[in-house]
Amino acid sequence: MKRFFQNSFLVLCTLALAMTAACSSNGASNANNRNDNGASPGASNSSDSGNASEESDGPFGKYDPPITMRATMIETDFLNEGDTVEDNVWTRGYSEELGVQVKYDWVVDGANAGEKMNITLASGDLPDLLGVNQSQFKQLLEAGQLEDLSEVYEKYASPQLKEFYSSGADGLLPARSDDKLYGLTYYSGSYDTSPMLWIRTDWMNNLGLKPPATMDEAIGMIKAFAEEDPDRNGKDDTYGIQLNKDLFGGGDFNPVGFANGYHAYPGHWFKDDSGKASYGSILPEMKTVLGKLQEMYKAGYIDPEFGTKDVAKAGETVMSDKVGLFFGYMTSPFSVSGMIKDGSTADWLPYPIPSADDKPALVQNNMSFGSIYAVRKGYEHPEALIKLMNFAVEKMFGESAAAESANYLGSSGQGFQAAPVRLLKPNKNVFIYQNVVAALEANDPSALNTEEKSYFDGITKYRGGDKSQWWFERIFGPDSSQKVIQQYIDNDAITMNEWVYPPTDTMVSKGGTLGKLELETFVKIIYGQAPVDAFDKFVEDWKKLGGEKMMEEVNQVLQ
Amino acid sequence: MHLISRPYRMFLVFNSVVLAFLALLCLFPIINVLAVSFSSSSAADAGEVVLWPVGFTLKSYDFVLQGGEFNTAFLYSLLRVALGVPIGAVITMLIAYPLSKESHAFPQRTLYVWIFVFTMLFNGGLIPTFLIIKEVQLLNTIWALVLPGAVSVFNVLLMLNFFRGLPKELEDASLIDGASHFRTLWSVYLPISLPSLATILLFTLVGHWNSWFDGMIYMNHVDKYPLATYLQSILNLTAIPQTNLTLEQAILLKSVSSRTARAAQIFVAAFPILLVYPFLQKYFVKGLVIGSVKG
Repeated sequence: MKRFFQNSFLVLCTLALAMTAACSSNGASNANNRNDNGASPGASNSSDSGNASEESDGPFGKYDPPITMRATMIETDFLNEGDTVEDNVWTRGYSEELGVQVKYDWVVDGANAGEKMNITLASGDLPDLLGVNQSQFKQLLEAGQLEDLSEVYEKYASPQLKEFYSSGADGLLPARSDDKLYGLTYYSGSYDTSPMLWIRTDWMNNLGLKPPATMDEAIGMIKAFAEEDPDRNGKDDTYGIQLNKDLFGGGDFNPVGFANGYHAYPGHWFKDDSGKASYGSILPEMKTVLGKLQEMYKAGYIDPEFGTKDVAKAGETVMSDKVGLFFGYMTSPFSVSGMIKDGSTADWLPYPIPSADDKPALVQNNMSFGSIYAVRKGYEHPEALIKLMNFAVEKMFGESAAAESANYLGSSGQGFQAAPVRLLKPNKNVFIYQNVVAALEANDPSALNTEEKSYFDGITKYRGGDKSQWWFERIFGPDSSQKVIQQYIDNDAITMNEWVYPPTDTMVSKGGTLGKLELETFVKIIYGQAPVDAFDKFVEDWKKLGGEKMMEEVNQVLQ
Repeated sequence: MHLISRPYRMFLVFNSVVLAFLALLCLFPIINVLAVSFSSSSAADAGEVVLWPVGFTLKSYDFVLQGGEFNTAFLYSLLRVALGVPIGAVITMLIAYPLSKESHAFPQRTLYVWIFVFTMLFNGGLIPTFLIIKEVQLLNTIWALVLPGAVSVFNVLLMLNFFRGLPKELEDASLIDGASHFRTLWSVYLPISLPSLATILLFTLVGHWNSWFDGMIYMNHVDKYPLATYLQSILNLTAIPQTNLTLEQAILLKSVSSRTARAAQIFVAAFPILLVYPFLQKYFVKGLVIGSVKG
């Protein structure tokens, strides 16, 4: 036993020594990092392929010998049979057709990926391919850690990729700085961010009501749902409309669509008639909206506990048969799908936002993009990123898609989630809707692509009695949220948020405070704890506390 | 009983009511999670479940027992505990024993104690610590979860004070009989320190079982997540602010296990710890020292 303790003591001492040694060597390597200006120690990993690679030209040119690209990845379940996150149809495709071997430094789940990336950035050992969010991108850009991609993009991007990025708007805008391009975006268009009105149709039919054509009719319907016992159970246990605690900043069950009906655009930056950018939440139209919401709250039309409910909790209230109407998005069926089950007659239908007056209502859209993909400064093959993106677009939407997309997308149609860089056809969902509906009418899915086919199958299953497939019908069917979006597009009823850039300095320093002030004031007004006129005071405070500065900065960028 | 005065009796009643209320307050979330885990998912989604399962089903437990990642994480947590608890306990004992000696026997004692206490109050911060773990090549290994927290100064102080409370005569007797310090620690101090050792084991065990942050920052693959990190990540995924979900995000969220399955996972994860308490209970006995020294 004595021997044992002596041994363990020895181990301890060795460990302590190792720790100290590590501290000093660590300091040295840090200094190194600073000296060679960003070229991280990881560069040696890929240098074996260094000059050897011939200029492999063209968007799909293959590297010979193959190159290595270090990247990071988010864990996914959407894999083909037998594939893993490290070795799947995408990684094999990259290496066989492009000669790019993607190696992951880490693979974590989506919830922790942002934090993990922050630590990676702080540690200084950057992977070659950086899938980052907007503020991380800004941080890297300002530290001079990103490779300029302007030239390689022009040279290597396939025509289809360029077409995708120019669909609707400039999809690369968030990754541009000083007329240079520093990354590619996961640009998905903007139409899917359109707010819309969701109504519980079984209640509407119970009360013999018609879909509202004006905001007043919508409020009339909310009143009827709250007061006329729409579920016919003889009890006064329903509300007209559900909100969530984040109000205009929240997801489903927010009043953004309601505000759009009154031509107010909360949280949006846009140029007014004079050409000057202003912020939607502080314009006079907002006051009307808050006044209406306050009236409805007083009359008991709104769930009185909304101020404590996040989207999930608000969804619980809706799914417990308490609410008949809400403003949401095209993905709202996911928030209420739990109540569509055997033995229940509940059903929801989406409608376009009605207008409060004779001016047609415009719905507010955001340019929607997920990650930004950038390349570490000093990586020898910055064009490899462009090639990976060309590859993704080609396999899913290009000429080879007909033969190969099924393999790359898998049976779920979601296989692209296993690729380290992703881009789907921007605004694709509305086209999918058109194709799926045409196929349903003709009862012939043969012309559909893999993704479309999976939605077609879902709708067929739902119609065959499988209620868990309901959301397919309500998103892509003939009466669906995408149909509403199609109507918005046809009627030119969309207005864009013009601010697509990383936050300005004042937004970073004051944005949080101002957002809180906005939310608190609005909730107080709706709760009736403050008069509607408190809005004027809020606008003054907002400007004084940094809003004025913010508007200046935004105007400078947008000019 | 009649000696108890009226005000005191009132105090007793009041006291029991408050304590009972506090106990219920602690119990309620556990019972709620348990009830949700046994309920049908539509009832749970509608928020109908409070204390009793609605639409009783064992489906979620079925799911948990099949779930591959959950099992991997569970085993990894067991490994972490199996390594972390003994290492932690041995190191704690080895530090506490010399530091419990009087200053004349161990002159620099106070200095060393202060060095340890200093680390209790100040630390290197997240990024420097991460860099150290990375540079000593511990990243993505089980040792990154075990070694950085192996010395718990709080436990050391606890043990140290317990040792100081023991009669000095025990040590004297042992040394006179020719035992070394290691022998004294092992054969004399350890057997009579079981109550405080049990406390330390419990603290380390619960600490290792519940800590998730180190798993998140030091591990590079979901396969190597300990259970707490895995649970944190799936619970967190459903709490993303759901503004303007894209279709792909919404499908992803839907593919995450349902609320009832998550409740079952939480419960299965908490169960081993709940089991440990009664087994350690018997070591929490006082008075082991009584009678060890005579005269």
